[in-house]
Amino acid sequence: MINPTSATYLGIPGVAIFVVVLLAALGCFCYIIYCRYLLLALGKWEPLRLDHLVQRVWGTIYYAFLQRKMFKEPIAGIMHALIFWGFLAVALNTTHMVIRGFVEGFSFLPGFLETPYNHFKDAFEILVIVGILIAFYKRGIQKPERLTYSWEAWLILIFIFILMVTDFAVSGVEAANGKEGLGFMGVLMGQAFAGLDIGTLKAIHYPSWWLHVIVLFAFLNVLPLSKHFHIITSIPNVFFRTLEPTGTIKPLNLEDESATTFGVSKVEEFTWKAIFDAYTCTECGRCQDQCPAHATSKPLSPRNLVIDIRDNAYQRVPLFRKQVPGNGGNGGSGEGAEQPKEQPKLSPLVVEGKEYPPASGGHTEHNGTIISETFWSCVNCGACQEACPVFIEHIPKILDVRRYLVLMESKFPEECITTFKNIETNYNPWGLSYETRDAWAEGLDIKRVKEGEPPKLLFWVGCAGSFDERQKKVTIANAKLLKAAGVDFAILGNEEKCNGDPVRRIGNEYLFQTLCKENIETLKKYGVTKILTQCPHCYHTLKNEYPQFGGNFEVFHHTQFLSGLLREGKLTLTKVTKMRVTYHDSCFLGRHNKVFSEPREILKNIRGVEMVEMGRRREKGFCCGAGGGRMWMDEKIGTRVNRNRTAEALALNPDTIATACPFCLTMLDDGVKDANAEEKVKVLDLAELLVRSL
Amino acid sequence: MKVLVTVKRVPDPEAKLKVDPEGKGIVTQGLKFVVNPFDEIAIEEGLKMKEKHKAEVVLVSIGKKDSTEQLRTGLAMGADRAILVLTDDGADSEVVARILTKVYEMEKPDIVLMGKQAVDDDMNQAGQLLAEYLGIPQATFASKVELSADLKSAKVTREIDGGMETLEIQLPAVITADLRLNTPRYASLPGIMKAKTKPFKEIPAAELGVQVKPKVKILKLEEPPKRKGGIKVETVQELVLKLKNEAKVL
Amino acid sequence: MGNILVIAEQSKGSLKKASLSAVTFAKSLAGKAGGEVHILVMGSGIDSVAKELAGCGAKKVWVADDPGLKDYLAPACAQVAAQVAKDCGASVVAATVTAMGKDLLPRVAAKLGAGMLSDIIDFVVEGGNIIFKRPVYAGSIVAHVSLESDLKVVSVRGTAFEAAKKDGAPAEISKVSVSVDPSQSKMKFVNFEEYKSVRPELTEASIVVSGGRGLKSAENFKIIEGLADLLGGAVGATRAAVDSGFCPNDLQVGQTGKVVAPTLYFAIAISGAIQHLAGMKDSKVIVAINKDPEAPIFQVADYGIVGDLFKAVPELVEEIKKAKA
Repeated sequence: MINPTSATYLGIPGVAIFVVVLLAALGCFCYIIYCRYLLLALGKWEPLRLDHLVQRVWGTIYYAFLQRKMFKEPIAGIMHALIFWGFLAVALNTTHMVIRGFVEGFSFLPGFLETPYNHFKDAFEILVIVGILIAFYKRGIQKPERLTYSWEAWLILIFIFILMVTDFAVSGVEAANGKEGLGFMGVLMGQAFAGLDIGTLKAIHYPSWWLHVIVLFAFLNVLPLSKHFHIITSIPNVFFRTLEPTGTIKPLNLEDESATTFGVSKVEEFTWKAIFDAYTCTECGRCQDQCPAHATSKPLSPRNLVIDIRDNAYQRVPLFRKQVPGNGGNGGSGEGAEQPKEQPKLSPLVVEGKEYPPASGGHTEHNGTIISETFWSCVNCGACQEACPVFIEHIPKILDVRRYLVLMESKFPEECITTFKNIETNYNPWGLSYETRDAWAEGLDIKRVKEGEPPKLLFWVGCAGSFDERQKKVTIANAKLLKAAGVDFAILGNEEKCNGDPVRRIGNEYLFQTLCKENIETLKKYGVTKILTQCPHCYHTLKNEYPQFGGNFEVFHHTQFLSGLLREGKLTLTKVTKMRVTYHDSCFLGRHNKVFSEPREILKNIRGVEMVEMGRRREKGFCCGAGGGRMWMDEKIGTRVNRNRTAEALALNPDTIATACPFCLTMLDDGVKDANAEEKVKVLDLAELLVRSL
Repeated sequence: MKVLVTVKRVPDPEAKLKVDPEGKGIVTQGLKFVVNPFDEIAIEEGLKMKEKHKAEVVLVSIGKKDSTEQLRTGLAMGADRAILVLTDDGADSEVVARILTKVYEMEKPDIVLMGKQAVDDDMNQAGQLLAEYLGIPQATFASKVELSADLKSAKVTREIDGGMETLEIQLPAVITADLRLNTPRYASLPGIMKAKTKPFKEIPAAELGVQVKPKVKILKLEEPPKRKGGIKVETVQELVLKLKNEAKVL
Repeated sequence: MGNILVIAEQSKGSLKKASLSAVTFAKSLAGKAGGEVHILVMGSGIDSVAKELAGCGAKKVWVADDPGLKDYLAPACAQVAAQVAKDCGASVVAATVTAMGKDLLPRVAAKLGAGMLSDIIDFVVEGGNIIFKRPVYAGSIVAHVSLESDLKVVSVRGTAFEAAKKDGAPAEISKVSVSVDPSQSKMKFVNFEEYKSVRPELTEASIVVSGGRGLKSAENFKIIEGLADLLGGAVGATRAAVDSGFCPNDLQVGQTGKVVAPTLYFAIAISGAIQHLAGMKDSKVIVAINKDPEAPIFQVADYGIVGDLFKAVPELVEEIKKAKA
């Protein structure tokens, strides 16, 4: 039984051919990887995330190796797990095959493990084939909307199939040739080949073997050229994932004198990690499936966004061509700026626009150019990041482009000009006189902060709670509840300024930092340590983003605080109110900060409440449509996000929809009115429900 | 081409104003000040002319040193230079127009763009006075301005009672801006940074040699009767009666 | 105290009624401080206007009738007016606050070297001094002011002075010799486009009737229009009504729509969400009709009716008709 590499082909020794093929493949692969590295180097530097190593390692095991997020969609999860685990299981065999091209019968394993491993490998190869068949079904017959349908996806599936089948064929030939200790599939195949003469065996063996190694090397090189780059990059990407709550935005250093631009307008202005994210995108579309903007026909699809960023990036360091001058690359030849004969035109990353021209096929054909409306459509709900199995961060990329558009070009939805000016002058988005911020408290005997007397608890009312008539009722409900529970609290009065969430999320980092620093100064002046908020946006920003500027406070959302009071028995609920309630999870409270149970606990404590849950709840909650600064923008494209969510709530036939956020309250209330259901269904904050049961 | 734009520092229109104890002015403690909204529109129109016709946009404000803030806002939007005519005494529309006449003689702009009125005194005079002193055309309450190709005249559409009137005026001229002329831009960060170093000249009013003293004398300011809290009425008849006799709006 | 010259306004040979308010002001001032009331009217082919003005109780009507004055242009008219003011011995020149009044009067003041006050709503005469009252800071404060000049020019608010009625002996009509050569002017009238709708423009109207989501259909929006037309007001709407297709979006009042501050604002079937309030909260008097007693609009409304708009508004229309009769 001669090794395929020991034979001669047209006079050339098999080994020589094998060496050439191997070196060519590895050389090509290394070149491509080098280009991909150069592209990362073009991006801005951000420090490697090496904090909380234990958490990172455990996450890598849990999410990458155990494929935990993939199983949210069971069949797809099984399909991918089989292929992935199969890949890992077979890896040793693959390595052996390549080395056996030089050293016959080589093995890393001690002899007694040889046969068990072969059985193990054969079993997994069967499972891989099952996985591939499921994949064929999904891609060819079921055709879910979220996938991109490219020839390269089929190519990879076929490659994997070929690899499995050729391995069986080779094992079968070896078994037929009398080799011992092969796996059960090898033995089976060997029985099928028994009785074939040596010529036929060779005719099966040699092509199978060469096909196997060639497909293997081709596969290797296709990886960094396609969405299967994730095979190499996903495990590091999971390791380097962000551990902060989703939706937490990193500050810009606006005082950097050397900075010529802020935000991102060119792909090389992203950090290397953002570009690495783009490499890792598997085009699975799970993010797109969850996105409220996409669901309501806005130009934003998180999947397409990441693919477009990747495609745009690839243009910067084209393969097998001289580098495009002026993009910061070193050109490779070191001879200085030499004009290449054929200069591919670089597509801009962002162009003004409200609509894409209709695309053909399922794959985005934007040539790496994204229209601006894509970025404005985002509600910052984080459903995309929650769904992404490889932990791509969509929101920071969108925010980075918004920052460029707002700060550098002043090109953003016109409605926001008024919002910005109002917040600049009167510290609230409606521009109502800042002196009337605490008018709601008139006659209610609410304590104000006093210098020198640090308050035990600061009730941060927020703009909506101070000025919006509807939300003022929630403020008063909260104040009543706190008093009933004997909680000692104070308010800042008209020294409280908007926390800055709307302006930061629209992209006005400059105004945000001004507000943030002023608020921190005020809070520190009065010695505030504990803050109670009634708005998830205030909560999220004060808790997760104010520390970026030295504001470290203990922050609670009213649902957390109130459920705590209930548990401690400080609030007694006496009234029984029969109602059928469904609770809407606010994105900024729920998905970003994982506060799901406390609001539900509050409902459970109210006697007479029948609680029904919507399908899209908790981490899978569907946004009300007001996040990401969109509360301040007109929604003119597609259908309304809030109507989509309201329809889901109304389908449960509730008489009450409970919320914990002033934006959700407004959006759902509007949705109920639009559906002409305001007679039957009331939208109320949990605080209001509680206060009515006192 | 050169455009001169007037900028006035006025109290934030949203602020709840109170008459001070002396009764001749308003309480300024804690009061926010902004660029007169109509002047902002004038600045924006000037910037549009800069973009389209390469005009130089010069801002001018008359007042105390704190008007610097408003001029910087205009510079951040994109204006080229600012002039602050310092005066401590109150200036009425006539004094303002006389000072502007001197600034006009200094700068010789092709167009003077002004807000139609300042939202503090609501006089709506300065632009027209200036035009008469200079003997040049005026187009007030402009909602659209189109310059001729040779930049020697302008077609201005004005909002007047019952409709829109279009005039053709020869330059130099005074144009006062109405609400619908444009939407003022928001200053970009580079704009804000550049504003800090753009040319800024302070001229004491005395140096301009304006002899006229204000003729308008404020004797007293009074707050109109406070709005009564909202009441709910039972019948439409009651509503109509109240609207007629109490509110006097019918 | 010299005489009082009122500059009256005419358009296409018809007198603008608003001018009669200035006549009332002039007569009232003459009564308290002395002097004769003279009226000036400028234009081309304005004999009938002159006759109409002659019957309102002035001493003399000055008519500047010239083809060159057919289209109103400030410089030419200011020249004529200043000359007439001197000729008639006026110490006060007045006109009603209209687009023309605002545009013209300051130029007259400049020519005469007179001080000027705009938008007078009232006045008193104290010991030879005239103390005027005018709104400042968008009307949130009323200023009592005087003019330290012998010659005074004032524009008066039309709604503060009732239109002068037919009164007494007809005035003497005197022709002013004018010769205006439009070709010498640096200004040219191009055209005038009248507003298509008979209704006043939303942001300028003193009465606005707005409808919200509760109207339920575009057909029902006619109820709003009916009330607006009865009151001579403009029509407005909330974003929700516009989005639901009840009316075109240039009627939208609110933070992202138009900001209005009329004397009287009707909010019908409008809940009063903060985005809408941002567009109308500076209205002088707000009336709300809504079937939800908890609606936030009632917090800002001066008068509110909790009820079904489909009953209340027709009733309101009837009551107003009765009141006007």
